[in-house]
Amino acid sequence: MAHNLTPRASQLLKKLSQADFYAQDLKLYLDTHPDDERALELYREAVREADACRCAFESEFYPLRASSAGKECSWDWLCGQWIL
Amino acid sequence: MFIFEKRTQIPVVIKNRNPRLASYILTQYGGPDGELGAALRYLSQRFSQTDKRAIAILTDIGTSYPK
Repeated sequence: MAHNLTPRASQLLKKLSQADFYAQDLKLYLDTHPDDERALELYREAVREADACRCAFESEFYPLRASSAGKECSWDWLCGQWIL
Repeated sequence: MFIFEKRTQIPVVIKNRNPRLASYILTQYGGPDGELGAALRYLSQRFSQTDKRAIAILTDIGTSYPK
C-alpha cells in the first residue's frame, strides 16, 4: 500500500480489497454452482461489506470510481493515489 | 463495460525501486503474451459460447484477469 496514505485509509482499502476479492471468488464459484444457497448468502454479504468499505473510504478520502467524483462541487477525481 | 477503481486488487509495496525490473514486469501485463491479451481472449471467446454458465465464467474471468 502506498506509504503516504494515512493508517485509516490503508486499513479501509485493505478491508475493501479483502471483501471484494472474496466476492470475486464467490462469483466465479456461483457461475458453475448457481443453486448453492449458502454461497449466494456469502456472496451478498461480501458485496455488502465491500460496498460499505468503499462508501466509507470515499466519504473520508477520495473517490475510487469516477461515478463518485464531483460530489463536493469540484472535480476531485484527480485527487488521491493513481498508482498504489 | 468496465468500471475503473482507483486501487489495486491486493496491496503493492515497493521497497526498492528498480525501473529495469519494473519495465520487464510491465510486459507481463501488456506485452505480447501478457495478462491483458489473455483477458481479451476470454472476453472474445464468450461470444461463441452457447452454455450460459460458460458465458458467465468467461465474462467474469475476463473482467477480473489483469487486476
